Amino acid sequence: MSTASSWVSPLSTVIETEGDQQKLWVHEARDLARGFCGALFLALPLLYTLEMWERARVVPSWDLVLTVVLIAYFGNVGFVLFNGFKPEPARKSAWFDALSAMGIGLLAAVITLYLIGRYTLHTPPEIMVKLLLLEMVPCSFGASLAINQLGARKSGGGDRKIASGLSTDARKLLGTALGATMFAFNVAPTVEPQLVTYGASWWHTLALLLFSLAVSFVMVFFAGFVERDDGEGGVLRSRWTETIVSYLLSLAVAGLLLWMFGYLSAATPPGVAVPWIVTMGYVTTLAGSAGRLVL
Amino acid sequence: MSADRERSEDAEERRDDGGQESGDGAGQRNDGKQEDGRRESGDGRRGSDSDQQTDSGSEQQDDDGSDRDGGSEQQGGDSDTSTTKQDPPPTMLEWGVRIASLVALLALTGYILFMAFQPPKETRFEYTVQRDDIAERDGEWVVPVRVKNTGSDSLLDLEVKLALVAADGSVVEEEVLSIPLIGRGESRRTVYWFARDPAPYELRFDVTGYKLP
Repeated sequence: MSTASSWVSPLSTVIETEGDQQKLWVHEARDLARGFCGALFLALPLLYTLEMWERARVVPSWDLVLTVVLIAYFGNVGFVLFNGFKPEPARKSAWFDALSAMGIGLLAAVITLYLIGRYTLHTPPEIMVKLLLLEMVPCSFGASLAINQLGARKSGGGDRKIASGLSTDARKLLGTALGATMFAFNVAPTVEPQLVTYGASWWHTLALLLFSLAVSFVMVFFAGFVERDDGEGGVLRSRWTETIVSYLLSLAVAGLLLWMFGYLSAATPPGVAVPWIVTMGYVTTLAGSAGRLVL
Repeated sequence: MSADRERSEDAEERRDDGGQESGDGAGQRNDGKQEDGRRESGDGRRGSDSDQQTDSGSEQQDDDGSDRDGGSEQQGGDSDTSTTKQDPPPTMLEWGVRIASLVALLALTGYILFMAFQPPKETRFEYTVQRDDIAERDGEWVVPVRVKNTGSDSLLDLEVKLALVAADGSVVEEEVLSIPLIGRGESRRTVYWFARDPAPYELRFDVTGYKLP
């Protein structure tokens, strides 16, 4: 006779989900498969992006380790709070699921990188590891957003977010940061923001800043994509306060992503860094606005 | 109100069924959940706002950081959101994935940190001429060469010149190839084309320049 401890259930454990009796481990395997598919669905464009392969050779080791710990792990915790790869909130654990999402991301990345010929006998182990860790980040985000991307059976079954208990302000800020990180991840490693920055005047930069704010406001408050419940109170209750604070947060995410991919450093002069961040901020602001709506 | 109560009772009954069918271990756990569920119903907290649910959920979090109890409360509190009647801890499969993920991440980041602490090496190159592959094609000679960056910097736009040098030291022919990016410790296979057969000449390599990232 098998008994369940408070930590581990025996493999014979059966649960009932949506009217079906099913072994728990089969259910878990399905969750992991869902995360794996989500990882590939979101990150495949980046697995095929030349700049990602190049950045892995250029990003300093310390930056990469900090990226894995700060951006990947805590980003995944945030995504699991809103989404995850398990449909049932009762079985979610944000801290552990984030770890599993990173493991799933590693597996999805290493298989794809091998299959598309990014790993050869002549590739040094250090570059293989750095490329794997860098590609793992978007893959793990994809795993953590699997249900949001691809849905699940009976996906309309109410609020599955374990972040529903956060304050309205916290949800808005987290939605901005996570949306900005997820969507802008596709643009940040490319060289185009740099080229745009080098070709832009200060007037272009100022216009881009104002336009970013305007688009963010229109997208969230005017276009009517989603009926929002702004809740009671909150510092960000004013529409313009929310827009400006979210914009500043989006700029911070833009700077973080550019640093993560080795484009910005402490040695970058402000005259270069500021317009570069504003240029990248256009993307993160739009993405952050979408994040507030979607997440 | 009565409809809610009926749903609640129905959920309780289904929970009972699930407990009996899932074996002793799960059943023991279910008993506890049923008590929780009944207590919530008795307190009249079903359908309370999300803040209350979350507060309760966070108070009852398990050691592993999961919100299983919170989730269970949510199930009990709103049967529309209930898709699972039991919330047993993970099996060895999920624990295995968690542990494997942690070990893999620690190993990979540990390796990166180990490499970061290695003393820097000056930029140097190794050239390996693949003599067996030198061949004549369309009246010209192809010379495959593997260029390896043995320094500790990754380099952009590396330009490598290969010259055919006669016995008297004169350069009879030279070609320059550009390698867009070469990481530290990485090698690239290049192919030079010459008008002459390189066999009687000495091959001399020179780096003419590169960019640092």
